[in-house]
Amino acid sequence: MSRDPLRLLKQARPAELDPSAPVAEEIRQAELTAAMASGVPSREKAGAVRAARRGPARLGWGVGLAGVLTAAAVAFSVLPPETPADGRTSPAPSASGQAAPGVVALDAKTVLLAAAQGAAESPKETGDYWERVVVSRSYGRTGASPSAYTVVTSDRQESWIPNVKGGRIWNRQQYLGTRPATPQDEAAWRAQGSPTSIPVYFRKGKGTLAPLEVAPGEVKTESSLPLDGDKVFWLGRNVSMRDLRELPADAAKLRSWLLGFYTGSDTEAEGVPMERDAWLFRVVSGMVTDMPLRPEVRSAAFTVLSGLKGVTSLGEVTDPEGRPAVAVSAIETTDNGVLEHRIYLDRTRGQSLAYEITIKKPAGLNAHFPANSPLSSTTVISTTWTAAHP
Amino acid sequence: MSEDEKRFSSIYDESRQHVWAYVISRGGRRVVEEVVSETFTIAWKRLADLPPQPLPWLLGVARNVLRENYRAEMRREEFAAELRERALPPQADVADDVAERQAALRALAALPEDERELLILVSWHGLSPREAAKVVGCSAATFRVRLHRARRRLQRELDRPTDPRPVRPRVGMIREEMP
Repeated sequence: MSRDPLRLLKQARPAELDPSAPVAEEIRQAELTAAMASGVPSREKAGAVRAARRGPARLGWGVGLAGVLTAAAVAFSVLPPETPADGRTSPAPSASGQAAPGVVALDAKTVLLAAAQGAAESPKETGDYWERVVVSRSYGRTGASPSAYTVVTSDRQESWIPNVKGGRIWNRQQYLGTRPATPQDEAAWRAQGSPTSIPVYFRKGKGTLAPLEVAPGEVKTESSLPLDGDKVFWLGRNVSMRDLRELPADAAKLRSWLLGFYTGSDTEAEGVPMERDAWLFRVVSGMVTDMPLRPEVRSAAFTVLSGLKGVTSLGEVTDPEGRPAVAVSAIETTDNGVLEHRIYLDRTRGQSLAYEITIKKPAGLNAHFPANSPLSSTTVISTTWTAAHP
Repeated sequence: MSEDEKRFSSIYDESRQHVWAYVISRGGRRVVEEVVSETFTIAWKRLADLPPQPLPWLLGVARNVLRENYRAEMRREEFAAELRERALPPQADVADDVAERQAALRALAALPEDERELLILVSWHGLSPREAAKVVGCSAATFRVRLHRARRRLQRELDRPTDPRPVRPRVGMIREEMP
């Protein structure tokens, strides 16, 4: 290509980033008013450009804390919890990831092969759009020891992935707010005056941060075209709905199909080495959690997982949404601590309920957390095939 | 309206969309409103410091605000992921091949974040190397060297035979929240 790359880049600027586009009048008024209401301009010249400390929180209380705290917990319950294989009632939910007392831990292979069986027996469904609701959580630490506590920030995302030619990808998203993670954390938060805006540690030592707001944000809906017309997921490479339908239903074939895209690099970072089984764990757990697979392919995926090194069972637990589940996990050692990647499963139906990363051994950016704290999770609330989109 | 208010409003009108677009390219959408709002609050308080060409100064402030923002720091790569994934529609008035422009965005997404920033400042915001150097806090001479390198790397990415670059999982697949 002989063209000036900067010129080409200039022409490729996305339209929405055009600096000559007008600002909506209500935004203009709001931003000008907010700035000018913050005080009077200083007459002194400062030496250097610096960011000032953040002012007081702008957002009002509005919703009321009780509403905020319960919204995430009660609003969605479409995907049922794990059904025990023997049909007895499930143990009462304990904290996420904690095995109920007195339950014998199942080994990972047994759990995953049971899930493979469950998946194989699940009904075959399809439609124009695959609609899926997930709640993502990420955890942060705030306050100084000994009164430090953990907060959890939640987002709800509803997506519609097209299974029709020319269909758009639709996303509806809402920030659900930040709240204390456990009853103990809530007590610490209350003791500090129940702040509606919570600063969270990011770095060791000093680290000034944007506060996370307790109040939820607005619902935002947007749509985009699939990449290259039809690519909707990443599976070691970009794949279309059609590619997903055509995945092999035989575990050995599926495994080698996937490994065809393994380059030795981490799934999230080109050039960072990652072991083959760790790579397969990531890709296959993403597959079963995030993608609409044919029942027999989902079954094969669980069988692939059952054959990986380094996968252990956590037995019967509750998922981040408090639903009974079984979980399997793999360990990853990083500069930011030893992390445990967990898949929460309904083994009877062969469904993945959630994916969670917890901090086994805190270090680096995660040094502020107590050991065994969750770091982030994605919980599947519901999935369904539909003919409509927003 | 006081003189200060008039001056500030006109600076805002000239530069707000630049600040907004720059913040999106550095910290993603989730924080853009709060960062833009804080940048202009600082600008108002420090109105006396604002040079006659205020844009580099404002982008420099936005850059510092972003660096102190926990959520923005966590989302440094969000924009690159978006460039790779979403094929943001480019400006409609350009007659060129869509594929070529998409290739340019993907090449941009493949660069290290600091090089991406230099190229964005120059090509999307129209800053001179001297002005852009002020934003990132280095000398104009250093900036020219870095820009040259970034540009070469962009060209290399463009020349690469097209392999579909990995798109991040679209529906919240496995993703480390922390960098």
